[in-house]
Amino acid sequence: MWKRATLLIAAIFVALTLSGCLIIPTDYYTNYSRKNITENPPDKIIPGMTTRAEVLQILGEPDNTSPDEAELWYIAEKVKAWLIIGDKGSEIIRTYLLIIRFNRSGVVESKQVVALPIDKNPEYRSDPHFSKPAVVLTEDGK
Amino acid sequence: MFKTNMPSHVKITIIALCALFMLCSCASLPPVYADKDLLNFLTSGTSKEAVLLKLGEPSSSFEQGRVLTYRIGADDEKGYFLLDRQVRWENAKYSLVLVFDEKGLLTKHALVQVR
Repeated sequence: MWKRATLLIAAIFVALTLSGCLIIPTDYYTNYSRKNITENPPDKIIPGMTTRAEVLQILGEPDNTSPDEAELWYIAEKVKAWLIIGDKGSEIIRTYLLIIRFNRSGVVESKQVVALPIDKNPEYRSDPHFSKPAVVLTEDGK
Repeated sequence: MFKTNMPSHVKITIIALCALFMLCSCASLPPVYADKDLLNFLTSGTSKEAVLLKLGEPSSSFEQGRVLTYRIGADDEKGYFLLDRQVRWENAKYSLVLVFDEKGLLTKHALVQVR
């Protein structure tokens, strides 16, 4: 059973190589990506304890922010493989999205890293994030 | 095709002026000033006004301006330089994070290495 499987895999590898198709595994950040985000959420950020200001001091400016600052997004892109077909090559890039959610007090509620599908990249915002001024209500609440 | 009876010396003058304007626009691109002491003024108690006057508009602002961030590039020999916010982090090496108190005085700051 295992012998047949090994032979099959070897045959596929030889066939791909002979056909000029080669996949070389790699693991490095793209030239334009930030490099302080990995596949795992950072240990220093502790839900229920770490504040928004502390998160910013640990990870720096996020790549995206929800308008109410309840979510900060940190995005990193890694080249996971080189795909070579004949005389043409391309990079297979995987995007990692670290989402940090905060409660109303500005304390971390959850942290999560999402590996996005190869063909689906997050929408980058081109405008800088500036927090909106606090809504000022009149005395009668209007 | 558009044709004109414009004399050749006028055409040459127009082309020369266009080339001159293009060179002028290239020359007017702002240079990047690197400074090893760019961030030395940041100490506890530095006012937000002093920060804005020295570093200019931040790349982002959080919690109604209590936290400001700047994108910083670094040259090993010349020092730090400020970068505009861009979608990607190509030239930035650090994210400078400044936390102010309710009086607008600096309480904490961190130079986070992002690349």
